[in-house]
Amino acid sequence: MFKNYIKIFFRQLFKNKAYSVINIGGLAFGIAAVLFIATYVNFENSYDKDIAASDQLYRINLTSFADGKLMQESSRTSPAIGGIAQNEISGIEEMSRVVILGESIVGHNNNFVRELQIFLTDPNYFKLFDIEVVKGNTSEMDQPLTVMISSSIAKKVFEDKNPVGETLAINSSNFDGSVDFKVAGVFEELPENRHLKPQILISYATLHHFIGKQIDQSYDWLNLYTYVTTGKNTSIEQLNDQFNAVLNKNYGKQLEASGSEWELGLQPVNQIHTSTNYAGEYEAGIDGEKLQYFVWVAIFVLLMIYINSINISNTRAHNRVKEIGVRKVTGGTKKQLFVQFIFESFMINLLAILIAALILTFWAPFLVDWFNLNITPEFFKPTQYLGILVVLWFFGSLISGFYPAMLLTSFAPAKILKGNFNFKLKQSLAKPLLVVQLIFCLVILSGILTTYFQLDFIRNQELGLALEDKLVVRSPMLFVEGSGNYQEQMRNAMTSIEGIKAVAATNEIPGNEIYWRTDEVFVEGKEKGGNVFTYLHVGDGYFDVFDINLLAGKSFNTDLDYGQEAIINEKALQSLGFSEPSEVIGKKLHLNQGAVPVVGVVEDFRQQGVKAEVDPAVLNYSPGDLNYYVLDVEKGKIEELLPVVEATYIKLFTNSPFEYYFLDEHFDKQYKSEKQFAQLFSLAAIIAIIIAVMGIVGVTTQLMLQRTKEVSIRKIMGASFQDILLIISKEYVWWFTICFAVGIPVAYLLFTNWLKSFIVGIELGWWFYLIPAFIVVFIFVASTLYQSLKTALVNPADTLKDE
Amino acid sequence: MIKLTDIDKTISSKFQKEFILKGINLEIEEGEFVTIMGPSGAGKSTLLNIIGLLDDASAGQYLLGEEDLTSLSDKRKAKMHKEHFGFVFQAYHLIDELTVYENIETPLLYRNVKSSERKSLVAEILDRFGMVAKKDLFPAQLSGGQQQLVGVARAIIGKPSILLADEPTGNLHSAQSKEIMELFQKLNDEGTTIIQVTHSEDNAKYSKRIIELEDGAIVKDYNSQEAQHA
Repeated sequence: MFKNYIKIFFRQLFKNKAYSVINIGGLAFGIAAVLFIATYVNFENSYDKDIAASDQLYRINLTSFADGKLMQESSRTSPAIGGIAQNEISGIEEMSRVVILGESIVGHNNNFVRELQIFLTDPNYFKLFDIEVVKGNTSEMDQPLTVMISSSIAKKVFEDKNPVGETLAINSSNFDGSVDFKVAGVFEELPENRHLKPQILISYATLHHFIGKQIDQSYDWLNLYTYVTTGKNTSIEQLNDQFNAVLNKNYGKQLEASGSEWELGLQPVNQIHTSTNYAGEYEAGIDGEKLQYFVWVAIFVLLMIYINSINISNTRAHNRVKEIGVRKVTGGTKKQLFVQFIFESFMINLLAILIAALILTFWAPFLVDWFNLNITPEFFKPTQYLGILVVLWFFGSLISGFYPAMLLTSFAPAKILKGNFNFKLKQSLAKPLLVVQLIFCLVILSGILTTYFQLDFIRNQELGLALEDKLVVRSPMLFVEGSGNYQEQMRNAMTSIEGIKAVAATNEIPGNEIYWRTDEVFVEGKEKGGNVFTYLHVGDGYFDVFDINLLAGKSFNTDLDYGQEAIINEKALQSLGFSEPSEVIGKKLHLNQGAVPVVGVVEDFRQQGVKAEVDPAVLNYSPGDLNYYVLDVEKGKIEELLPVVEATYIKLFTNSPFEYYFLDEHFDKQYKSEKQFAQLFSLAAIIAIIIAVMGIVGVTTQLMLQRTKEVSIRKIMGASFQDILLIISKEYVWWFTICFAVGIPVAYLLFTNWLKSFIVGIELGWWFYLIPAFIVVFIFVASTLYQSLKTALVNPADTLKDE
Repeated sequence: MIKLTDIDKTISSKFQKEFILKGINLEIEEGEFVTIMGPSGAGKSTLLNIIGLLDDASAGQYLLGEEDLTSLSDKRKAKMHKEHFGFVFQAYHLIDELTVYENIETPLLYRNVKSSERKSLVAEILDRFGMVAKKDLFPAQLSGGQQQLVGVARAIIGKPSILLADEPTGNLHSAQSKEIMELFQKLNDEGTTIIQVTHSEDNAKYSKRIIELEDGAIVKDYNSQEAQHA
């Protein structure tokens, strides 16, 4: 019997090629889009889950309050917290601390590379994070000036040489120059889906070497990540209680004195990437809630394709009517026929998922590239999504096959075979489903509009910083001791180029996080606010180049040496306990290195855009070498001047590669996840809309064909072309009314909720719905126009003769 | 064998009940060849459909042998179709996507006949109808008469005891009609009960009994051969 079903299936398939292509193609593209989204969501959710004891691995986070008010939830803690974890809490098995060193130049024998992912940590880190050592071992990692490097760094720096026992030079502003380290071993490259992907791990003992062992007793050096493993089935709540009790016992008094309150809490490491609540993360994660939206988008696309498939089956129903009648009178039961049509649905869905898998295999690398995603190719191996495919095949076949099978098997054979059976599509669910598709289109279009306007809005927020026409040049990668002052050389050389207005040096450019943070900032006579301040070295002309407004005081005295004066922002002003900018001018500001006068107060500027709150900031003047040189270029001349700048740089620093960015583009990179969201959403949305359009064309064509006779008769009765168009479009007006009545509230609820996840969000005005509504009408009219006109222009003589 | 007692068929609309068949009492013995005739709208096809279980009577009783077929479930109906009835239609109603061979084979599939047996049964009937050479053609590639031959072959392959034919030659020209009617006669001679609905006096002559319907009621029921002789 199944042989017979298969034969019929394939012959039907080839007989109605256009419909088969629309049906299977729609399903395949939809499923491919859903698989892509699923892979993306799966990848984002997979972070740190490959670690063997992933479910026992936690990071200690710190929530701080000042005068009972929530100040910050931070991923960073101080070294003493690690000490508590290790010695005073029962239920903690292992502990590891990680300090970010930040970008440095590393090398061996004049072979230098710039590397970002450098951290200081203890030997425990390798165990906790399941890192495989391929050469050497971790036993020396308790010694100062020891490093372990990744296999890719080993290859880049040491090429074919065995690095174990060799020297690696690391030049970092945190070391105030270059320091030699002994390579203890090489570890396997970490997968992309880890929240930290160290390339170089320096021994934690190196920290002791530089700033002394007493740092481990510090509670306010809030600069490191503390990780712990717990015993199996340990209650996290009880651990949190223990931590806070010990913290209170050890450090409660000091906190109370400064009016602060701290709360420690364990966060599963495998949830770090999908939570965005914590400040001080090394790498921006992705909002787990936003991932949820993708799940909804996927469900949307699936519903769309299955509705489409149902509708196409419905429109083809009249083709199967005779067969059903014959099968029934030759002894086929309703059940057997039902099985036959469900079987066909399984076949169609099988073909669709096979094509979808092919589409994904060929397109995934392109899409990953296009959307600038991190997903590694192994996530696109068919074995990764085989489970989803089977589930989609099974449920998709039932969803898209059930209703048509019920409809088809319900036909009475007597009527069919007598020849007077005329299956009318309007008797099926075709019209309600069509309206559902229109509603989906409306909601999806509002979604695209909302995401793009929101993205545009956050990118164009008032930052308090000028980013346009700025060319950023990296500091030279040279290790020559006493080679002079690069800042001065750069300024002199670059400002002599016509079209370059000024040069400002800085250790961090806008768009980058400032890693140097401290809460050891206070003004004499005032209490420490307990807030964490960022601390940044800048060169002469920084405020002018970035157009940052000075509210009180003056800029730095450039005759002075490094770090003799401080300029603060408004946030810092408040944190220090002042309300008027002028009040703080001349006051001594106590910093880690001593007390310096505050000479100016600047307006708050958004170093990291609208994604992060503005931190209290202290800026110091530095005439020496800094990480970046920002060239203020005359409007529109940046591309033209780039080769001149490059030539000038090469002449100055012959052995150092010329590295540059356009500042506005660089700054924009921090909106990567928002951009990806908008792009991925649009891709899925466009596929859904294309599928819907195919469905609309299919159904309306059939509906129109079925009205040909009616139209012909009306024409004979004297109806004009306009009358006929009116009659045809009267029904559409109803569809649109329902579509708007349902779609607009749904879109409103969905997207106002989505916008709540942003620090700043747009207001959804009436036109957010009006434009999509207009587009829906336009899409519909455009896709039905041909058939409507054809029906309205029909010649009654031709059609009525056929009847 | 077939016994209809007080069969009514009505369609009710909101305000009234319209009779399509009214008070039909009819007995048809095994092996009879019966023609139902009458003007359009007389209820001929409805009567045939009720006999073939394609339609339900609104009132009355339908016995086939000892079995009461008055109201059956779909499943029982499908079983009766398999065991007792063969249908031939005016519009042939072959499945367009299946070949001649596969069309004829369809009823056997629903009867769970083994593959080897199916092959020999279909081969036998193709041979008998002289259609062996056409077995791999699709309906659209055949003439009307050939299509109807396939229709008949399909109707009788399951060896039904009753063959029901609704205007079997309505779409055929006279030579083709004659061929089909001669085939019917032969099947009847072999023992198959045949009930046909037709407008054609010529076709009616092949049957032994004619039942004339008018406005849903039997107005005449007579032996066609005797009538011819009279």
